[in-house]
Amino acid sequence: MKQITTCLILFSSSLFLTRCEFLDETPESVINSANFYQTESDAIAATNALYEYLTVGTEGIFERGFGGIFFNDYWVLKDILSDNCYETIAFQDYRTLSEFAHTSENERIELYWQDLYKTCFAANVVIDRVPTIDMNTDRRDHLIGEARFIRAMMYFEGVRLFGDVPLILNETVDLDEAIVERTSATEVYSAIIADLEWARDHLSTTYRVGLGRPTPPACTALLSKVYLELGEYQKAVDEAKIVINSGKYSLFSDFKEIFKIANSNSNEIIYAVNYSGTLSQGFKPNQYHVRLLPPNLSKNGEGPENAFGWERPTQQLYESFNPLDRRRAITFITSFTYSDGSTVTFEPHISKFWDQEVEPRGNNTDADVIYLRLADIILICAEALNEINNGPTAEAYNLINSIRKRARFNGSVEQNILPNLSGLSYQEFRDALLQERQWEFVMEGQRYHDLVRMGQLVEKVQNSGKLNVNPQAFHQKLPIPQRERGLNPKLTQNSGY
Amino acid sequence: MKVLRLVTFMCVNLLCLSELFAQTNTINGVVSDKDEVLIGASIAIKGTTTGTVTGINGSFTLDVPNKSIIVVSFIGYISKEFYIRSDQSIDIILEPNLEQLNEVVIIGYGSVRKSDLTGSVSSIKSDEIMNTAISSVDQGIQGKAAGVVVSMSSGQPGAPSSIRIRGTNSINGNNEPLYVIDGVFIVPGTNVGAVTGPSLNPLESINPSDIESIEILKDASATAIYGTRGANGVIIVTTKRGHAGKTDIVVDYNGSIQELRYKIPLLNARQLAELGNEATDNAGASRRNLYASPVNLGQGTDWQDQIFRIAYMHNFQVSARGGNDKTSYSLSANYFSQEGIIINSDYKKGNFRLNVDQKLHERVTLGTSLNINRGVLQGVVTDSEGAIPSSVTSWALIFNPGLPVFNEEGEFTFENNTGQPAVGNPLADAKKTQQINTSTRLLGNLFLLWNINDHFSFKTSIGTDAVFTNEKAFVPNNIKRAQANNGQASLATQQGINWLLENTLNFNHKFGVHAFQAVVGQSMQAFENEFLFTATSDFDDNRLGYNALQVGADNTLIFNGTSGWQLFSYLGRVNYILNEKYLITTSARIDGSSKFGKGNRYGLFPSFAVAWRLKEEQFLRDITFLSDLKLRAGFGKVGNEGIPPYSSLGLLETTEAYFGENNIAKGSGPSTRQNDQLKWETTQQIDIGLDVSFFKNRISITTDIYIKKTNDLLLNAPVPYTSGFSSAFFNVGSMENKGFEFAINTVNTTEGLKWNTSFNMAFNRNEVTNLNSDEGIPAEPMLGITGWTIIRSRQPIGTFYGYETNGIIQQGEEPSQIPYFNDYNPTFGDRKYVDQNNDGVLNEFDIVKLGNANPDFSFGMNNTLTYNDISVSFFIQGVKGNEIVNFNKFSLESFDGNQNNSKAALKRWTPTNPSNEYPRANVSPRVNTLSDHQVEDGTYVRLKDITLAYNLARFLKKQNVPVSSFRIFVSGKNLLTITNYSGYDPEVNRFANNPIAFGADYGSYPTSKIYSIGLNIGF
Repeated sequence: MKQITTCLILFSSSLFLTRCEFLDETPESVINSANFYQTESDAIAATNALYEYLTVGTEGIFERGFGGIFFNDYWVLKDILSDNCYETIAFQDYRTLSEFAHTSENERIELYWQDLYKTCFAANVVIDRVPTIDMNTDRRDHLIGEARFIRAMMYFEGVRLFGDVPLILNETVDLDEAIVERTSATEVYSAIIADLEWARDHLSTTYRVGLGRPTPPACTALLSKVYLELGEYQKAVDEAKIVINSGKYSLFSDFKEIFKIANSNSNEIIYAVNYSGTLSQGFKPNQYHVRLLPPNLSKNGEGPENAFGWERPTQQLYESFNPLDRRRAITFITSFTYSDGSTVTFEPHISKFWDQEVEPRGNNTDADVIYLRLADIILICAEALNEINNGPTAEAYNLINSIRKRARFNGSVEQNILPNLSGLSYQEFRDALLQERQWEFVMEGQRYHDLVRMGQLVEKVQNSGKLNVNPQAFHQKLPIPQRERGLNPKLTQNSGY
Repeated sequence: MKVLRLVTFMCVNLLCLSELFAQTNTINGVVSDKDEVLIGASIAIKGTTTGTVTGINGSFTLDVPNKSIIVVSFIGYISKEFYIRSDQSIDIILEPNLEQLNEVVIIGYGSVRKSDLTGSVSSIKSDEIMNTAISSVDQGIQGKAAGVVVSMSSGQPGAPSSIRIRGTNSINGNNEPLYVIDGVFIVPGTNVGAVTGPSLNPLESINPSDIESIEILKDASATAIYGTRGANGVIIVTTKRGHAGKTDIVVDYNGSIQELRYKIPLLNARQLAELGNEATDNAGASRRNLYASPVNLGQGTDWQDQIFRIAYMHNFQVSARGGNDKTSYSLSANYFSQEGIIINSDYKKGNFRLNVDQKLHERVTLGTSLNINRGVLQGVVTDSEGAIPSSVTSWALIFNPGLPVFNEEGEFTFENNTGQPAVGNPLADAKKTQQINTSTRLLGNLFLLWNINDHFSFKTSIGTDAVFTNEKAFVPNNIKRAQANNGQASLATQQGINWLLENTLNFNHKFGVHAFQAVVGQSMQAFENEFLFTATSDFDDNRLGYNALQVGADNTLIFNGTSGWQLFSYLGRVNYILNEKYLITTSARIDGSSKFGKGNRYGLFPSFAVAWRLKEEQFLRDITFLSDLKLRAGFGKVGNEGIPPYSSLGLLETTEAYFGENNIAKGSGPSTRQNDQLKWETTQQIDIGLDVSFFKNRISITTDIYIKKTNDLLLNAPVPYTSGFSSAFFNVGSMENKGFEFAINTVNTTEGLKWNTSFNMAFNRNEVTNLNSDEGIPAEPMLGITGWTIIRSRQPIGTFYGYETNGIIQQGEEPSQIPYFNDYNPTFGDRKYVDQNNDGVLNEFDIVKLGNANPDFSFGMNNTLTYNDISVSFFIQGVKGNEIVNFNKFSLESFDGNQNNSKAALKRWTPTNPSNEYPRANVSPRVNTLSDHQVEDGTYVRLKDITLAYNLARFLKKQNVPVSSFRIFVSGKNLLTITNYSGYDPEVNRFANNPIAFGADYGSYPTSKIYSIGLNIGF
């Protein structure tokens, strides 16, 4: 029996080898969020993550959702869902959007929603957790300001595309907190405005300035855009004027200069989502050239490489330009000349984002995706003035004419086209604005919203000459993705879908 | 008739027992079998503990009360009973027990006599797996145990198979059984990803000749002692140990020739050209130049012949076993090399084992089991298709037969010239792409066994399974595979160290009619893994390949990581046997796993089982044709913790963005959702079994029925994006498996020609009973087809979905009236599909169930015929009623002239050949549509093995050649297969390890026919 006792002692003593920590998990090659959000560098890292979500998204390169909204769809969807462009890619999900035959099963819409909400979640984490970090208050507020600006951008996309959307302003811990009803668009807009005002008031002008990060004027510019969308025209004018009169931004004298790599983040550009083909070793640049430049031109080390020309301008868009309009020459490419002098011509493709001198092969670009530029704010101001006064004011004419003036400049001289506007009625001025915006902002993420805001989506698309299109009034909103409705029964569907 | 007379006699004999008188008789005698005396046989007075054992010459003397019964028994023999009413001298001849009821069966943390089993356990002994040429344990299991389905994910030598015991239990958790080799839990192999294709089979690290027995614990009452790892069954492998006495030396060799079992009939160059021309003609397009003159093209190149070969396999092994009364050892070495039937795919391994037992003291034994294995797998690219075919097997099927192997410059023809997808020369790819997987595995343990007294023993054991793997891959710049990146190389190393410490205390006591056996113990285990992956591309020089990544001009990609998990457990079990009739087993394990949420780490996994040996009851004792009858029933709760480590934590991912053109912004963003509630999956199982044997065990039957319910499924379930994530691990949903198993062993003839048969059969029905969401979980898309298999509530896992075909549009029909997909305008000769909801259009609402990857039943049958020294055995195995999605058919029946097609293209629809099965030649067919045409019946019956062996030992002994055994054999594997499946082989399961996607065939490495010859000499 003594032996058994000895054995039991041995046996139980072996149990003391284990302390409670034996079963604790301590990942060493990934960061556990439980040990994060504690230092200033954690706060910076958490904020920096938002920029990857904007640019290349939240999924890996081999996953279907690779690419943040600015990678492709921010600028693709708004123009194929309009009279500007049509789609040639074999994937159904783009084709149906271009033909206004999209359903709630559309993968592009689902992935757009995914990126919006995943980015919001990451922004909420910053907004909730960074305040508890012991660090310099100004820098802390600046980081939160960046996150609030980005969150506002996401909800502005969401509310314009889907109408009422779930508004989640805190990090969700329980899944139930994410299974919520759609919030009314009015409330969503209030939250957007609150975010932008807070960001405007707290973003630093000395710490982490620009280069893809928001600035106080960027907040003001976005506010003017938000107010225009809301129909709060005076506020839109007020905010727009702050930007226009700030002296910080000026129109490039030549339309071509806007898209030069060397001019990134300067002059007219108020806010751009920054990409770098150079630093990302090739697999994270935006897809401007891959999607838009004409295919099959790569030959003997010349011509755009890895280009597919998936989104192409409608003939009507191309022909709507005055042939001498600088914007036509810059926006489109219709021929390419090799160094041996041989030339190929083709249907118009969109080439405005291609800085041919700096990046002759196109692919793997450093080009940024411009989100806010002065020309947009100028036209917002003009549009709001026309609405307030039920007709254009002198100021409104000045604003729109400054844009037309630039379009007349062909790089050396101002041509005798696009005369300054004058003597227009309210509606004529409105139409002229819509037209001007179309010429100015091809593939800049504007057209669908412009048509919806001006109430001309159905009419313009019907008359666009696009084949097989069937736009309806309900297309002014996108459907709530079916996947989300399957997982969150509280989500209602937009009518018509 | 003879039997009946015997029964009558026995009955009469037993009836006399009722007369009882108290008087003493002395009996003596000798116990023997036919050939020799039995030493140590027990002679006991029935119903008492009084008795004796036979001495050195087999004799015994015993005083017994008058008119009592003595029971004479000896392990491995059928016990006999004698009614004693006077002093007498009896010579007792025992007959060997054919069913081996008294054989010892290893169960978790102990062993029991087979007759004392209460759970469902299949036992496979060494001679059952060693009679033929195999290289790993899993190959030896296939078809041998009811309810154990072994499926091959690849025919690549060295590739792992997948084993399912009683169906699939889990969706995102692990479904493979737990392997316990000499007490050490082994971890499955994984690749870091430098090479594509299969990882090395961990079971290859054990030499099958070293195996003493394999026990498969199937029901929860047997596996509950393994707690969170018992849900998928447990396979216990026990290796041979040394013994005191004469040293046995065994030398083995077997050599084999392998060949492709079945070649898919393809079009020749002329036929493809004619098809291509017809396709362009049908579209009103101009004919392709390469098909300009079909008649001149002739047969062309047979690309299957180019990549497949006759391949050789060798297996050498030598072992020595012996020892003295203090030390015993078993030592073996093994070298195995196998060429694959695809050029440049080979597998080699070497193996050493040393098992030593040393008696330190009369009651203390120190022992070790040590196994060192080194395996090298050279693979070709198979199983790698994503959006387009990219394996050499797919390429060999679709490459233009009109192209020569070598071009006019004598170099490999670079790529296919028929159209999309652009694929490379399969032969060049097989020869030049290098993919090498090496693994060094150390598996072993050290134990100390202390027999404290006759009842208690204590064992402490420390074990490890350490795996060091190295993956190397290189694609030279001059083949198609490297066209986009001008050559690519990748390297990866990984080390996984698994250690285990266990302490168990055993108790064994028998008093009167009560027998107790108990064990309590404690176990702790930890696993640590780390890997390094590096890759580059853009090679101007191919010579150094993966040995010098610095040659690559592109930036070198580096990726590394580490992970680990821990388990801490207490375990216990009590077996109680009353009167040799009533058996009760109860066990429990408390497992703590690091993988789960903080509050949910510990779980209790209990079991309870009873068995009743009815044969021992008075009322059945007279029925002599019934040699045994036992009823078993068991219930247990087991777990599954087979998810990746850190699944319950909220992890961050490293992000990278850019501020301007010079400023890299590294960040950390949320990547997984924290779930403190995450816990193990629980499987509850009820098993009811019956063991019965007749006619002195010449017929023995084991049957089981079971119901398994798995709850709290570990599911990487989709969550609303508003949560910030796409999916997260949860415990949601439940699944059920129920089934019936039947095994029968018969001794058909014993005189002269001895003929034994064993047959087993198992039925399992799976159903996902609840998923908490109607969305279902679709598999990854294949060839652009999403949702080809979806896990849905109230459906079995592995259900295929697609369209039902409805023949071909014939002339006379109006194509525009036929319901069709919106994106395609059908015409004569196009395939029709059923518009299930009659809405005039084909869309997702017309998708129906097309089949299921689960077989209705599986079976195996082995027959052994022995006549003197010659024996023949043949083993037949098969499954019935499962379906396979043959994705190869999309390219093999594309009929577009863009790729080579199978001979089915000759039966294509034309106005003069109005086929109702195969569509027309069509240069731009609609996107791939999964229909019942691609879903095929996977039923097969296969002559898995036939072996003819001749044992020359007796002959040689007569010639005074000093051998103890001398066996030569010839065998054939897969010589005959009956199946309707049109692909290479019905034994295919491309994603065998992924329960979301099983039952697919696409570009897999085909299985082969194998002819072997072997020699086994013992000294």
